[in-house]
Amino acid sequence: MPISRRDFLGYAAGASVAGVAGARGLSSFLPEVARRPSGCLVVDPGPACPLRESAAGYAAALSRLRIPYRAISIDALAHARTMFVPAAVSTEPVVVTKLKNCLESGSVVLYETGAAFLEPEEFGIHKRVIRSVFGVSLHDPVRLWDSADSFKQAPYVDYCRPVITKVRDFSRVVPVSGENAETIAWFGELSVAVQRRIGRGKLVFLGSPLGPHLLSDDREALGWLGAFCRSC
Amino acid sequence: MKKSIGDNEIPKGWSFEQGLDLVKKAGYDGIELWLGDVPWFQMSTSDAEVRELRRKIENAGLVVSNVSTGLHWRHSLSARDPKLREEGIRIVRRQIETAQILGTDAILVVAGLVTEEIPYDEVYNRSVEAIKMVAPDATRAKVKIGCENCNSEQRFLMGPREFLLFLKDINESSVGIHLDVGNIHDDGYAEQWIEMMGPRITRIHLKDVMKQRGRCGHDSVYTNIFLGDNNWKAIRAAMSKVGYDGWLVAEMERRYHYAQDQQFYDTAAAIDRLIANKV
Repeated sequence: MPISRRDFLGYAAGASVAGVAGARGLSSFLPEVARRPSGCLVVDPGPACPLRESAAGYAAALSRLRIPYRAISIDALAHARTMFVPAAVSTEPVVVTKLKNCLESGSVVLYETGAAFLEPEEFGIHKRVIRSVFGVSLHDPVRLWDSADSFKQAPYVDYCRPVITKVRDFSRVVPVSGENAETIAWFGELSVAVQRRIGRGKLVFLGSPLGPHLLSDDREALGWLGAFCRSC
Repeated sequence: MKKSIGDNEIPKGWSFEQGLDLVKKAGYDGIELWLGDVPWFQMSTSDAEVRELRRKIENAGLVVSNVSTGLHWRHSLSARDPKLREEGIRIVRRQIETAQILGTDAILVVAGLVTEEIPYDEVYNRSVEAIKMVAPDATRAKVKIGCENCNSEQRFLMGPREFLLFLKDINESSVGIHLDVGNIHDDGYAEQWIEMMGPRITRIHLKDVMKQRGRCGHDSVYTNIFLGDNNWKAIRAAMSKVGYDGWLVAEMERRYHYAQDQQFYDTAAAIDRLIANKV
């Protein structure tokens, strides 16, 4: 039977999808692809972002990495495959719940807390909101450079996921922990970044800001972000 | 050119009025006011009190050459803590406001501070951003922001090309350099800075420097004009070359152990020689 070029290409594409899907199980693969949000967002927390440079840092770094992204206000939050929330000090449960909804639909959310420079009262509110919605516990900020023995500390945050690298400290860190959360960065003995599954998505929570270093073209920070994006 | 000296040089225990009298008697044309560094001129000083300062200055036969501040060493525009940066911005804005009230058109700002904790590249970005934020205020007020070259103390903008790049990145006509010819130490030559900065110079601070020596305190590198290693002939020639005809502001450490007011007279006489090109 003669076969047209169009028919041939159609069969070939179908066979290719069936081959991949067959390996994973067609029923789970195709709906997952169909359901997963796509794209990349830098979510501006607005007034709840005390380190504006951090937002600029993520935007600059994604451009440098040639990763297409959209910058949106947290009020206009849309679902996306990868979402960056720079230096946020969310104190409104409703806002964090919106992010959680994105996580449950399959987004990967990198939430960087900007809480290290907050006054204790504000910090307490932020801490409660993050705990109740994300299930991540924040501990009191640690000042890294004010103590007499600060020079004994290595002034770097050691990341172990998704790539092993050292990134500069940002003067203060917020230690973080959580049930079913995996530590992905340490400052000495302190866990300063964790990741955990929420719904079908993944939350990556940073207790030491990365954005300002991205704005400064810090190689290791940029390398970490590149690895993170590739892992999403 | 006109000569001025900072009110922070007024001997301890002297009143502002006594200081003004000394400045006038020593032959200066104006006075540099240091916001936050002297009891009579603080962030809390009201507009009315600033006007009163101006009245006293004018009654003494002087004018204000510029408004400076040392507050940015504590509230740096390049601090990581956003609250400190905000305070740094507030200080610049108050300098601009008080410059207008005092009838001068220049302020001095220490634009950034590199420390062991806060590295150079971060400081650069924040400093550019902060100065860009306040530049429109300065433009509206017709005041020039002179970023001082505190090369060794700031550990920032160490060379003239780097400083030019900084000003280019800011790209605001209201922003230039408050050039301190004593701050260059072993890292270069003041006359070359003058040549390269040319019309971007808002004011010039004068002091001499003893190169290849320590920093501050007993081992200070700083000394009175003509006692150190600056090439004053070359500095004067560079001023002529670029057509600098503005304020020369004396800024020395108080090194006199006795008769502290004598430093005012000696410095004024040295500046006269410099202006007259008799060096």
